[in-house]
Amino acid sequence: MNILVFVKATIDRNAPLDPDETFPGDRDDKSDVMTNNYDKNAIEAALRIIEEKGEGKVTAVCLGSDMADKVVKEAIAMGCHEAIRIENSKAEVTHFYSVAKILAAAAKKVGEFDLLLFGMQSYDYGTATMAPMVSEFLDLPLACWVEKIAFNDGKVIVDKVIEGGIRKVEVKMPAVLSIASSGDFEEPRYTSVRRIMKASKTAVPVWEIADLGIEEKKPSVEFDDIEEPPARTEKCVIFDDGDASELVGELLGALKEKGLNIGAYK
Amino acid sequence: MGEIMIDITLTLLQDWIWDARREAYWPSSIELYGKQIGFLVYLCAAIAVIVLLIGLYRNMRVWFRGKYDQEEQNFTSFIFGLIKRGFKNFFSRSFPKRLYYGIGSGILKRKTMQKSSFIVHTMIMVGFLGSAIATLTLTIHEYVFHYKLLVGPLYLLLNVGADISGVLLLCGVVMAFTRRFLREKPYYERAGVEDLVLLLLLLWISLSGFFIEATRILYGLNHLPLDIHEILYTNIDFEMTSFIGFPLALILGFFITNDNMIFTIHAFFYLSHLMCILILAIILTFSKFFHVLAGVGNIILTDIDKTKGQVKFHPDGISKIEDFTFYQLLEASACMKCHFCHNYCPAQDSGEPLSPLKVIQDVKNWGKQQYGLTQSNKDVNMLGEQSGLTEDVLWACVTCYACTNACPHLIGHVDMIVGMRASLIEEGNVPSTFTTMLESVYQYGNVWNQPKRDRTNWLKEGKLPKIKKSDSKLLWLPGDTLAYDPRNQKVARATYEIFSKSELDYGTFGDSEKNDGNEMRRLGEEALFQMLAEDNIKMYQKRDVKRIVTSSPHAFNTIKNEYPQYGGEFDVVHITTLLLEMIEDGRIKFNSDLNYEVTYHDPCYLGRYNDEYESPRKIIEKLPGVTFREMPNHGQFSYCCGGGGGNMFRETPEWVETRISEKRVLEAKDTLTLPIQDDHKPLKKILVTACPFCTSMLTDALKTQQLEEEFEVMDLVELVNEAMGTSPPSDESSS
Amino acid sequence: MAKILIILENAKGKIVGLTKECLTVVQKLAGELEAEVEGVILGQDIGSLAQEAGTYGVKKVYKVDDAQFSGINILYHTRTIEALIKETNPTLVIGGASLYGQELVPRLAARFDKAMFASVKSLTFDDDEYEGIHPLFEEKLFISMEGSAGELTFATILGGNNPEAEPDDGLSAEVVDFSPVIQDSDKRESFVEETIAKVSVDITKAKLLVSGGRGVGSAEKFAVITEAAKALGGEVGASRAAVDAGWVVYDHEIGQTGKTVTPDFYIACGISGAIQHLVGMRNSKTIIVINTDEEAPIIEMAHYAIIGDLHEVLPELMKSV
Repeated sequence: MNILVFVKATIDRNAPLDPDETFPGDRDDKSDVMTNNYDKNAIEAALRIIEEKGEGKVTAVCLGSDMADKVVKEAIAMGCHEAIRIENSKAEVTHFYSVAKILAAAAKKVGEFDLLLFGMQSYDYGTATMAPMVSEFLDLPLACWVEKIAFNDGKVIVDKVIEGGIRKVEVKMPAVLSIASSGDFEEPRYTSVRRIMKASKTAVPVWEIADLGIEEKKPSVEFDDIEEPPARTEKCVIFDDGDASELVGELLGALKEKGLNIGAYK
Repeated sequence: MGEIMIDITLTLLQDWIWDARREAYWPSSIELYGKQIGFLVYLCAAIAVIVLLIGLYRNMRVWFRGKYDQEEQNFTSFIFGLIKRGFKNFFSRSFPKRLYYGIGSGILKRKTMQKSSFIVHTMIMVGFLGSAIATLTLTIHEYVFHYKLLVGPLYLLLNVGADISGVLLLCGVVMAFTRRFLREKPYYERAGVEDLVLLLLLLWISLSGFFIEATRILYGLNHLPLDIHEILYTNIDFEMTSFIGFPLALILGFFITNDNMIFTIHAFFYLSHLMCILILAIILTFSKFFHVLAGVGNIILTDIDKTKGQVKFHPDGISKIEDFTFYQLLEASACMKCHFCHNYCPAQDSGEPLSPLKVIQDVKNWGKQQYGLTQSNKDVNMLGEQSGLTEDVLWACVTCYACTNACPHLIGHVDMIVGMRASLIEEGNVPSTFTTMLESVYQYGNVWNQPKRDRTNWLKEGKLPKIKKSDSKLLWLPGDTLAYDPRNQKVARATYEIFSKSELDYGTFGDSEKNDGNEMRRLGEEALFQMLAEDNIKMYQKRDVKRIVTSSPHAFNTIKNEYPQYGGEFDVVHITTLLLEMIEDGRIKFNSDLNYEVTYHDPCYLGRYNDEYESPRKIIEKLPGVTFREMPNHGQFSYCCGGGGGNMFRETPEWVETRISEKRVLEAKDTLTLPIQDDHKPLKKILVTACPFCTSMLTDALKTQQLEEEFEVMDLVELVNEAMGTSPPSDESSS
Repeated sequence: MAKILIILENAKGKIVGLTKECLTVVQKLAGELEAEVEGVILGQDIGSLAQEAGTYGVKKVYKVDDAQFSGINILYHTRTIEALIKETNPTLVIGGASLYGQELVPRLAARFDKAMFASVKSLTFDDDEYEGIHPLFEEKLFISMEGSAGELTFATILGGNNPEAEPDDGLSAEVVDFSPVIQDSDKRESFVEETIAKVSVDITKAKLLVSGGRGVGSAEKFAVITEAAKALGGEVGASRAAVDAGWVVYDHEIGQTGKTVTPDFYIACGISGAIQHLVGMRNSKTIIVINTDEEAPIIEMAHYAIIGDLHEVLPELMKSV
């Protein structure tokens, strides 16, 4: 069983956000970079499959600049057998459409695989388009939001999350799966610092986008400006004068003024 | 007249003393019982010795699976090292301490309620040893000295000694039996067949000993005058020194009328006495009784002066028998299930599956399962249901050190648990809340998953002095929890205010401070600890830090006891020590009366780990208007807050009904709500502590137990700050 | 005339709410583009739903009513809609960014070798271009996407950002049967079964959370939190103190030892705000605190705070909303 897991380096949750620097390649402080947390669920799934089967190989594939090295090494530290980084220095390629093409081409170059695993989305851009687009570019069957995986005779049987329940589908391999952050793979294993240290010494092959043979095409929908939501300047509004009904009245009034409808979920 | 009387008495007495001789009064046992029986007895004895040796060998097979010490590379050098270590320890200054533990007085360290167990144990131990020495001496007397050794006073001394020993043993056994099976319920519940068998054997050995003695004396009395070994005895009054055996002989004399009966009864007691001893020898290595050998061995070989605050380094973690050290496996064998660790373990008390006793027993049993007499199962993973050492057991430990502190054999429970945790960490087998915490420390340098840049956000007014290389001075490390936890941020501000008001010259690292690593090491994340320790040491050394004060006892512990392993020797004190200094030399002056009634919770890492019980109490004593009450569990027997060893970040399992912290606040409540004698009414009642984890855990528990109306939880620093008053006395002069 | 094709997602015999939200967006766009709205609905026994779509302003509904569509098979759906697009040539294909839509639409876009407006809050038309706003970093930043209105465009709309369209009984749609298109390669995926989730809570997905802490008082009193959550259409959250006290099960715990949530409304009742709790909820969009202690640390990060007894305030809130 050969599994490719696609991992993404994103800006760290606790790093300061800057609309001009939304990609790790834009930064120069390594502590500003983290592994997309949803991808860890995918790595966990891949490792569990291999552990259960007792044979096979997990290869982590990452498109990113050298800032993403940390992420690739973390994938190895977690237990991936091999890793490939596709050089994307200074965040040249950012659009999900183009990224999907590159990842599909990379998978083709790797050649032998039974499963392609993705995290269900990314923490940063969060379009959740990668698994469906790559599967289409490779003409492979797909299952998204997978919580549970079983195998049967060249097929993978998955439980996928749907609104209000679970759908079980059978998909012929090779296939593309996106792994949910709930279910069997909810808690990715801890990667000890010792493993990280060990992994940091492994050499990871770096591929160039140019060698993947992709015909360049401008995405039909393009990215434009990034903006911050209006910064929160106002302090907490405190209602402390009056009886309960007055206080609630004041609160609802204030919410209404802001255009917030607390009654929208009834 | 009087003089003559004394003279006669003395002469008589002297004769009596010098005439005393140990005789069997009848032909040797073999002649008496016939060769067959004699042969059988020797055969049994031989079997017992063989079994004993086999048992010893079997235990040793396990011990030698353990790792040798660093310098000792092979078996021979290890054995030499072992002998050297034994001799060195035996003749070192620690000898009195070892002797103290060795004679079972380790138990005396316990609280008053355990004194009875010390008495019982000492009675059995002294009784057993005394009886054994007496019996051995008799054997030597008969077989080596051919009845020429025990003559005169020596024999009388032996008689008295033997009977005292017998009485001690008998009474001790009866008391132990009562404790286990009749009186105290908890003992009853956990005392097993093993206890019953051992006690019955000892009971019978002591009882039958008296009967053997009595029948022998009775025969002698019945056959006076006696002519044995060319000595004529007209009386054997000297046998009266057997103050139990002689009266017993007289009593038996009423019932036993002929020699045959004496022989039969003697034979019965003699053979059963012997058999019991042989059985004891046979089961010695397979029961808790083994502690008489392994325990003593452990006490001689153990590193008795080991720094408590330093966890044993297990670079690869412990997941199989081979990962322990020789000494740890010896320790495990030395465990005699006295249950002290079990009784003092707060995790056990709160309903966790962890019992330090069971951990040690599980290790021991697993070792024996893998290494029998002949079979060897190498490198079998022991963590899990197969051995009982499950993840739930290992993560439940709060590393409070109460177990090791309570252990009469100095077994290092915490070291073993941390070692096994290290192996879970390596496997990635970690509860997700620990994962979040550990990843946060790796990524951001703090346990609270917060950005580095927010570290000093707690300071709302004023400026935190930064430490610079040029003016190396006192470094203050507030630590992660003071920096980020809203409750503890108040403590940070109080500390800052005290320092400002007393014009202390100090500096901090501001946002670039990093976690100290104490919890990482206790969670078994050795590499992360090492990384932090090395980074921190580099940072301290770069700024030429002379002295460090920490707000957290955990940071204090690791910097003091573990950083030296990585080349960082610093003069480090906990904040309470510094505050006491400042109060004593007048830099801190108290201006307002507090009128509080307080009790103090000893943080484990300040108290049990670093023996700092006094400073906080002295400070409390000096606080104006504060009445102090001690909780029942305090000092080295203090209870824990439940937040140590990473457990601050563990989600409470469903099987825990009353958490450790909740038990502690309930205890505080009992103490603080004791009736007050005079009409003095304190303004507030406060449970004081001196550790951010304790403050946080106990504050939480106060809420869940709905005791907020009754009392508060405060850090000692906050009290000191309050007592100093708001206006700094030297405000004008500083401007 | 330009045409907009909306994918009418349906489940359990109903058109899903998100599709109705999309219809609002579509109606507006149709006006600006002067386009006709067409819909496609796939499933089994969905005739009435196709009719219902008409009341939301869909002019023509292509109905794929087939036993093979009783359970959802993404490859069947992709293939059939692909055929429909090729046949009817819409300029814009819109679906909801539901779990279904996010799986189907990107795949469909890729089949036409197109990028798309992925998970946008809004989609507008201006000066021959579409503009969509997509949230980044869990809504801490927003990116605008642009695409020419001249070519085939795909989009998914995020839920909770637009009101649901109101039905107009005066409107109706022309329902056209469209036969399924399935190729052999599409049979690589096969539907097995669907199960309704056990009633396990997932507070991380809730839009509104009423969260109780130790200040609630007792297990019995905690019922007010549950009631309020129910009344407001949200889920129940809790601080570690409340969970540890056994008033509510661990699934509801928010914080470092529990879950991290980012609802639109977070109503914290009787929670003072230990760091351990704050890290789990600080990114909530609107934080309302109900607490008796006006110095509770949680108020620092709240937007609104009522200083008062939650047992009086919450019932009042339920009544008034």
